Amino acid sequence: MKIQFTVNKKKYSLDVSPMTRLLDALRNNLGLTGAKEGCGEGECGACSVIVDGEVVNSCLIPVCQVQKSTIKTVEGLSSGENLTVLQESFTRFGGAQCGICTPGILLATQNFLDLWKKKKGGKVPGEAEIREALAGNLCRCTGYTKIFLSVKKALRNTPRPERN
Amino acid sequence: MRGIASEIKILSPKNLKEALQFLSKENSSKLHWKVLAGATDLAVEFNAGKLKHHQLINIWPLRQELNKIKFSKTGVTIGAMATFTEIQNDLGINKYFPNLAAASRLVGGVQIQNRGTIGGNIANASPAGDSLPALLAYDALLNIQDSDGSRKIPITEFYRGYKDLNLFPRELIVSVEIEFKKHGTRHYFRKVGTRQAQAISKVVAAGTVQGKTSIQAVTFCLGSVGPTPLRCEKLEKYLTCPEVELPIRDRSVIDGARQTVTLDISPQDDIRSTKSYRLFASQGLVEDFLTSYFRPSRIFIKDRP
Repeated sequence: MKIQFTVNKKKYSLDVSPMTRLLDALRNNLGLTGAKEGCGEGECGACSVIVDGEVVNSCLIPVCQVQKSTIKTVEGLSSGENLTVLQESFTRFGGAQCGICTPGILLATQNFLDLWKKKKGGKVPGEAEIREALAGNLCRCTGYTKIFLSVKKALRNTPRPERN
Repeated sequence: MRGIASEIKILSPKNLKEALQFLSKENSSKLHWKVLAGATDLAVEFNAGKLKHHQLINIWPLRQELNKIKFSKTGVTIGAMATFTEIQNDLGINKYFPNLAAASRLVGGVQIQNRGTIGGNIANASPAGDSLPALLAYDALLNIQDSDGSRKIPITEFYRGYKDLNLFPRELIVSVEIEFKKHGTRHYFRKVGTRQAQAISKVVAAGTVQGKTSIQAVTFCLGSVGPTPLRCEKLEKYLTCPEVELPIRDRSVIDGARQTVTLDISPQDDIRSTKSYRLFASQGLVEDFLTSYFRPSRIFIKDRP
């Protein structure tokens, strides 16, 4: 089956079985290996990508359901070497450790912040809201504290702490 | 063993009419084509190599047609392809049917809520489906269509046994209807899971109560404690009695209710929980329901992160 979609602003046309998972199409056909396979059952969020403005688990999406969709993966977040504020913050405050969950968490957070801004404008989301937004992303390294810290620091856009 | 994508045929109809025509042709005698909605359940089966069906009819393209949430003078009609994100973001649902909004917030994580549909949750018929006790407690009606016409049935008549549905393979659930509850109705929803978020429930409860000084009408439904999500009819009968005064402070009534609910349910041991814990938790939920519903009208979701 012919699938046409846009990934990170680039148009693609693939010829794959309709049940091929979006995750496999991204990783195997397009070489975008940012999205990871964790559990394969929609629990861990490591495979999160953004489809038509909504964060989804790409391991649970058959490609036939993203015909003509616009997709964003973690590779599409930064512009070249320039990281987003959120990515910077994750690297500075220990939000990324082993890194398997990080692409998914970055996308889920970014998607949440974009939607939040659309709905609530300048209001800053609280810890409870951030936690709820990231409920679908598991992390086994950080205990989440550093992740929430990174998100909160990014919201405040805090400058780099002094190193000894 | 992982499922193999090339072994699965998928047909994607363009609209409802086309889908129904196809189903009535192909599925008239037996289920040959399985309906694929948001894929949040079927893709999990596929990934685990447990998907029994090799022919799927993908109704995701029907979303535009079937995802509307429309209010009328008597209640709301929710399109079967409305996602849990759309349901929880709807102001009317939050205001008039808070149990359903609460349930929608607790289905998986954001990723699942963005893709999982209410019709899919109903048809998948998991005893642990979070939205199902909420729909049962609201006496929801299902609009079901095939290519010849439509019928409307109460959701209480939809589940006949474990994954045994009052639905022909040629039919599709197109929408869910819920009537407004009487003014002053109290709503209760509570999910007990392993983790605060993203856990399949061990027990899930939804209920409503009408009445000021005594209970006029009550519904109480539980999930994960039997082969289907179920209404606790014996408990409802026990509570609908002029002698039960509101607010409930009488210990003997609470103890009676705790006893009665055990007659309604048949919990089992499985990977998520045990029979005895589920029994214990169900009784706790009944007590929580009776002792907290008369606080200022709002929903109680203690498991929210």
